[in-house]
Amino acid sequence: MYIGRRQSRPRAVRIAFQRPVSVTLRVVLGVAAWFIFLGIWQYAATADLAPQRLFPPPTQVISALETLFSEQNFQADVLASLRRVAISFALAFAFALPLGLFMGAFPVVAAFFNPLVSPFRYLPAPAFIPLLLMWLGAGDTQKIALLFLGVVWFLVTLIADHVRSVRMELIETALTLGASTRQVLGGVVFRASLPGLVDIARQMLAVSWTYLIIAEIVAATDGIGAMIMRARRFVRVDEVMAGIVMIGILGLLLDLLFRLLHWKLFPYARQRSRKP
Amino acid sequence: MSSPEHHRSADFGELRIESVSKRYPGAHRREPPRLALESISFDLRRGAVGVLLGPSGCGKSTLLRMVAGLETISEGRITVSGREVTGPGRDRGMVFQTYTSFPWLTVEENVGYGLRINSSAAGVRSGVVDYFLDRIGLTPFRKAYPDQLSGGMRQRVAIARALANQPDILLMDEPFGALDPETRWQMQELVLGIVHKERMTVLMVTHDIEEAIFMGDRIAFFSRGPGRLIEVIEPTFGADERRLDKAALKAIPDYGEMESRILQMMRTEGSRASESAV
Ligand SMILES: Nc1ncnc2c1ncn2[C@@H]1O[C@H](COP(=O)(O)OP(=O)(O)OP(=O)(O)O)[C@@H](O)[C@H]1O
Ligand SMILES: [Mg+2]
Repeated sequence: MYIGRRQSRPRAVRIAFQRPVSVTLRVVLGVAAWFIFLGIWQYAATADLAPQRLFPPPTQVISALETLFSEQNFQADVLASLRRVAISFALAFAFALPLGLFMGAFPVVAAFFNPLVSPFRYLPAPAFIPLLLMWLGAGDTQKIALLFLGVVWFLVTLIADHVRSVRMELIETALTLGASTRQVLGGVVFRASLPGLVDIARQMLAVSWTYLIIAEIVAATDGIGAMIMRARRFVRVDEVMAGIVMIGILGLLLDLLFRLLHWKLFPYARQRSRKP
Repeated sequence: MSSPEHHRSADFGELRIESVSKRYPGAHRREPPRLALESISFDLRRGAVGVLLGPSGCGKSTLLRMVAGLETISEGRITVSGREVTGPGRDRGMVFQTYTSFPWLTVEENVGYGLRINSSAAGVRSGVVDYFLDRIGLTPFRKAYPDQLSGGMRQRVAIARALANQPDILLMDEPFGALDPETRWQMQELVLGIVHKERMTVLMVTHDIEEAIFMGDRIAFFSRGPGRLIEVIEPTFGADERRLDKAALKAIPDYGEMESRILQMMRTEGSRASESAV
């Protein structure tokens, strides 16, 4: 009987190492997680564990979000925040891409820049806020500069590491087919790294959002962070939470956008899980 | 790079390896350079298939990579079609043991890659690509991406890509090592068929004695520590007889004799090497 059990029938168990999950199940599980989370929140908020004013239920937060949009022109704040993230991230990526590419492709370049770039990663960007305020004032430039500093050194390192991992055989194959250095760099090294670069952009964009709030809390008249600070002054906890929810929603949407981009641009990477 | 008049030159497709040595730097600074290959000389005339055979670590890949221009030459010189090798170039196509298809290109784009970067006219290119896709039997898969192919199919793509670029010499490092025996056999015949038709020179590395005898016009046998060429074996029975099929090859009396002789050399080398390694 013991042996009979060990000769395993196909197991119905879903929890197994590396077992893929069907799309339906994934959606069901994801939605369920949210329902449970919101249910516990709603219950805790209405059960009078804390004053409602300081701990509003999700329903109140959602209606606060609606009034923010309909009566307080919240869309202007959202746009201001999106603009800051977009501009600073585009600048940081445009700076980090060529540097990371050359550092990853040519060890000589890395030997020169690495000692310079590595320590910068350990400097917390918010530590630069006083300097930036003195140099650039309290306007948009200072905020964009902070966001830029928050991600740029990580971007350089991540891009360089990823580019370095392009398989040498691909490069050598191109060389024996007569490719020039430029053709190898653009047509093989960059091209092979591209899907990974989109992933890096997606992940670092999330980091950029966390710095956005820091930047807007310091000195800002508009933006999601500024709205949150305003609401705090009037102890409008529901509006503070609505601001946080908005950031979450925007982050999620951007993440999905980048995933979609990845899916559309790299059809060959879709069945990646199939092979070693 | 390879001009039309060049194709007519007398030494087109000829490989000359003249007293070539290779020293690798020591693993750390105080360790002296290690001699991987010592004074190797080996020639191939146009259309001949050369096979590098020998125990693991004797420097076969190193020699092949030096011909490709991917490894520096410490001493001596190598010429292909009369030109000295100083770096990689399209006149020496290489097929690696591992899969090297560009994953972002379809099968046909992979095969046409060399022609595209060397800016061949699109019309010529598609003709050549069609021809080689047909030869390797992958025409139905021309729009597929390498990830959708089996290992054998991917290796066929790599071979077709090298051949379509029309190199003077084709270099292959254990090209069929990862394939099952049946596919391996098919690929050997396929490559020989194409290579004979194009009269292309081939230099390849293998561990497989049968493959060496089947494919090689000249078999260079290496010993290890440092790598030396100890014997060049030229199968005495004619090329046409050898390249019939597996059964016919094994039926030839000379085959068994040659196989056991090479096996004996391998054994001797193997035991000698393992003694000296201690
Ligand atoms: N990049 C390198 N740096 C230092 N030593 C190397 C390097 N590449 C190879 N060697 C050494 O050179 C010798 C020959 O290596 P090579 O890879 O050419 O052998 P091989 O005959 O191809 O072996 P195998 O049959 O196992 O593939 C080995 O002793 C190896 O350790
Ligand atoms: Mg080898």
